[in-house]
Amino acid sequence: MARDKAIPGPDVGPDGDVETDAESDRDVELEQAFRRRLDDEMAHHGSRPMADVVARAASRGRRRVLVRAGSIVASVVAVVAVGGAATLALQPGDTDPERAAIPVPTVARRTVPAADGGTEVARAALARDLGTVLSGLLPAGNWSAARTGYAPETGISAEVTRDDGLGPVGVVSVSLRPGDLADCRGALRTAGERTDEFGLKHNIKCLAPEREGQAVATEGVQGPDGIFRAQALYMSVGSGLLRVLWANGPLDGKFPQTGKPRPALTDQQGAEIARSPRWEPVARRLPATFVGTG
Amino acid sequence: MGPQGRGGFTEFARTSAHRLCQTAYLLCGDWHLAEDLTQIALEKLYVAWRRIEHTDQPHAYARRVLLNAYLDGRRRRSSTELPGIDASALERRPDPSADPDLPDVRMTLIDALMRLSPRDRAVVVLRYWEDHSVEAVAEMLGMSGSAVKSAGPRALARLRGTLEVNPLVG
Repeated sequence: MARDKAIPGPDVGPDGDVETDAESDRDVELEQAFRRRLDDEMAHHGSRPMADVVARAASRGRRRVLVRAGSIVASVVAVVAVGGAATLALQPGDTDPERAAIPVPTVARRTVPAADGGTEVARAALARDLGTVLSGLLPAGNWSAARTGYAPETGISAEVTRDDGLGPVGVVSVSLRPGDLADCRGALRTAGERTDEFGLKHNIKCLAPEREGQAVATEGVQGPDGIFRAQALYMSVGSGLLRVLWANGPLDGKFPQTGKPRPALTDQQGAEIARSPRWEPVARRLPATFVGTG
Repeated sequence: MGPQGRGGFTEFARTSAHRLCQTAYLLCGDWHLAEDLTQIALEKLYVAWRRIEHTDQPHAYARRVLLNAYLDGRRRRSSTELPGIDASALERRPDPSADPDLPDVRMTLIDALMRLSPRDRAVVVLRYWEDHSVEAVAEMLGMSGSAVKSAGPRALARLRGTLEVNPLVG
């Protein structure tokens, strides 16, 4: 395997064409020699087992496909969530900055189908009246102005907050929708016990009419820390179902950090508000097709 | 990817992996790194399989990904490394007893290949090992056709110079 035997020498002839041809021949010969030699050397390396490499590649590729699909789904969900949040933010009645400051504790803020203008006006007027009645029934204290709202599940609502000078320490809300406690479970449309999205445990009891003299249901709300957070009373008022709730703070997960927060009302005060005859004129104006019609 | 697609990919990968790995080894000079590059190429091929399985491009796609993975890996390396040169490869010697026709060489062709610049090595491997046309190699490496055309013979000449005591043609 002497070099002078293997590769043509680098000498260049005087004739340019001859030189070019010779160079071309040498290149081809060099290429062929390279290929032969490389094949020989690679043959010496033998065949490497590639099954593991293929399996790992398929596994990692599968994971990448799944991650990519998951990312797409997550993006879609995020877009829907942002859209939903924007829809909620644009609900009628949310333009009041006070309302945005402290969420209504008892009224679920859900996407509401668009209502015709007349229904919206009627709801807003009725909710204002609820707030007016509620404000008139509250005991003395530093109460906020009534904030109003509407959700298909709970009907129209009004809410006030008590402030002790260091922030909101109590909330009272009232909601009204069609329903009859003669069919207590059907009217309440909820399980006896449930846990909401903030981890609050709601325990609802239908009480026999003879015990209270009229159909009544009670609702106790306990925080995830086990502290009692709110009490509610359901009463039938005309063809409507009235719910009065008094809580020791907003029920949106931002609970007061005090060790044993005081409720906004005593049970006695709450019951007196719920049983007030002043709700009846408002309930009589409740349209039959009020709830769930958008 | 459905079961049919998975089967098609597995079959392709099973038959192509060895050749891909050899090409990767000639590019990087390290069998472990070559297997990693092969795995990367096949992994990316898996992701794109639905798109390319019905074309006649899987081989080209896999080789392209392999080459990009090799070049990208080199770009990411620290400047203090000797990229593309496997130190153990420089010490590697073929076992003379394995082939009585091989002389007691001081350096193998593959070792010499590792002494080329990465781009020249890629040209040599793609042109003379993978048998790609000048145009294809130029497109893959982002070079002009004339640059590839001149780089190939020049690199071979350098190999010959490196292997003076172990000539290519024996």
